[in-house]
Amino acid sequence: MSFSGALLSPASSLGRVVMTFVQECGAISLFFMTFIRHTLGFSSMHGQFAKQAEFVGWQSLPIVLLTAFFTGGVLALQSYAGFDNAVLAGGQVPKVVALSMLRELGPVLGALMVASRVGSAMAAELGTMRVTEQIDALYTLAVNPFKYLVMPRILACMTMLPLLVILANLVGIVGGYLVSVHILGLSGHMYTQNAYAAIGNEDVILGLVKAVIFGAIIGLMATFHGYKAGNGAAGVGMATTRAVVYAAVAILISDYFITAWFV
Amino acid sequence: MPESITLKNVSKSFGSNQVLVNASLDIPAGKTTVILGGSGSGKSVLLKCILGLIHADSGLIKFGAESVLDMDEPARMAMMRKLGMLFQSGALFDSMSVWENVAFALLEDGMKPTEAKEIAITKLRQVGLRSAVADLSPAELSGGMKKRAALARAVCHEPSVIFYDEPTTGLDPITSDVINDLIIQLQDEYKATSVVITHDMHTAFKIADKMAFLYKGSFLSDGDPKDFKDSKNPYVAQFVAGSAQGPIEAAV
Ligand SMILES: Nc1ncnc2c1ncn2[C@@H]1O[C@H](COP(=O)(O)OP(=O)(O)OP(=O)(O)O)[C@@H](O)[C@H]1O
Ligand SMILES: [Mg+2]
Repeated sequence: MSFSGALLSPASSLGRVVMTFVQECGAISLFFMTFIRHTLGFSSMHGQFAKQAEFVGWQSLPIVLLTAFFTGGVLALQSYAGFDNAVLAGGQVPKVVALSMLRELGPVLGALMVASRVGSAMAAELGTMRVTEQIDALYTLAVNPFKYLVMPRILACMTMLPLLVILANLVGIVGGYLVSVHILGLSGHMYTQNAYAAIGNEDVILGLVKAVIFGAIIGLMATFHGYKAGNGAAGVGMATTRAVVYAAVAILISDYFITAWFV
Repeated sequence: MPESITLKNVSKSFGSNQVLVNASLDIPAGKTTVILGGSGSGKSVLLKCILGLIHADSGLIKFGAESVLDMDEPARMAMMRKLGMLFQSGALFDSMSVWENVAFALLEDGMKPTEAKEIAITKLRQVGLRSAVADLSPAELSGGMKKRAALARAVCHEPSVIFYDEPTTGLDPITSDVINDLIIQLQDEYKATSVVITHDMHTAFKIADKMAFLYKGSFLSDGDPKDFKDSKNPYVAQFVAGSAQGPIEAAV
């Protein structure tokens, strides 16, 4: 390789990465615009929404609540260790648990759990439908696959994740309560009172805004990568991986920006 | 009133792989046109281009009076309502039972499930499947049964244009002939325009009103089935005879 070639190649490969990134973003945005367009012309949702809502919401409940419960418990343990005396801890631990759950961990962990459970399943299902020509078959039966497959899934994620997050927050605070009272020996009355006093409207709103946006990200990444899958079984596997990884990264990055915007 | 279909200089490539090269063909209304061609010659891609599932790179595709390449979404859906397509792979929806697959278009049109199921079972019988099959899932069917269920789905809403991508491949000779008779019957009954892709010469000559031979992405020859039988074109003659000797080299 010539000297100038050696100098240029890192720059050109970086260029390629950036180009690919921009192309991907463009394709995903186009897909999202189509989603918005179809949602506005709401006509044929075909009861698919209810099925998806059950899958995303109801069936995710155990895993989301279980993680929330232990997250609340861990928050109590960790924050307690940070305080010098039990009196201070009694006032502050519930506050830390409640605010961390509501503002951060409820939405983020809930979204990550749903992304791994629901996002992968959706991408695999749509990907399989793509490579076995079932999506083409929908078209030839005069059903728009976008309306039939994509829309109900994205909408289900956007509506069910906030509901899951509300319950996860409650269960997380309860987990913190149990640890505080039964393991750390703090007063239960104090815990309830301080947790309640710590929560403001904006904490609730911030958490729910995040949940709706994270839901959109999960549904979008899952359906986009499934819908565009190619190359047989390997393509479906790749779509599934991408759906989860892209969603997780997008959730964490957007979490920062939503928080920064609110604070 | 069934539609005719016209292809003019249709080309399509995937990357550097030129699949269709200026393919031109008239598919007459209310007749059965059989498309012959070797494996990988682009027959399935051609059907998908007509349906708009694959966007042709250039050329003209007319479905009735309308140009497929310039259709907007509502026009495309209106076209889909008039046609039925049997995919080479079957493409049954594996999240639904067999009868829900067959009755899919009817259910989407808002027909009551009990009524739709009855129609589905009638269609399944027509393709030689017992009514007990209706409640199975596609994964529980054999390859040939899948093909027949897919055929029942393709014709369940009584389309005026029907595309069959290898309807008899993978079926035993008797079932194949039942399917041939069904294709002929559908064509007689509804005066449907049928487009059939097949490798099966018996099927081809039994059902064809018109034949066309696709070779390396363009039509080498099209016309009356009688002319195909004793064609002077060495490519066509070799294909019809199913001989390894001739100008067509088998892909190894
Ligand atoms: N979606 C696609 N992407 C890329 N290449 C494709 C695609 N579909 C088909 N091809 C290529 O187009 C060519 C023709 O494929 P096609 O499926 O039309 O063959 P065919 O004539 O139907 O063959 P067979 O009789 O085996 O079904 C093949 O070389 C195939 O690799
Ligand atoms: Mg084919």
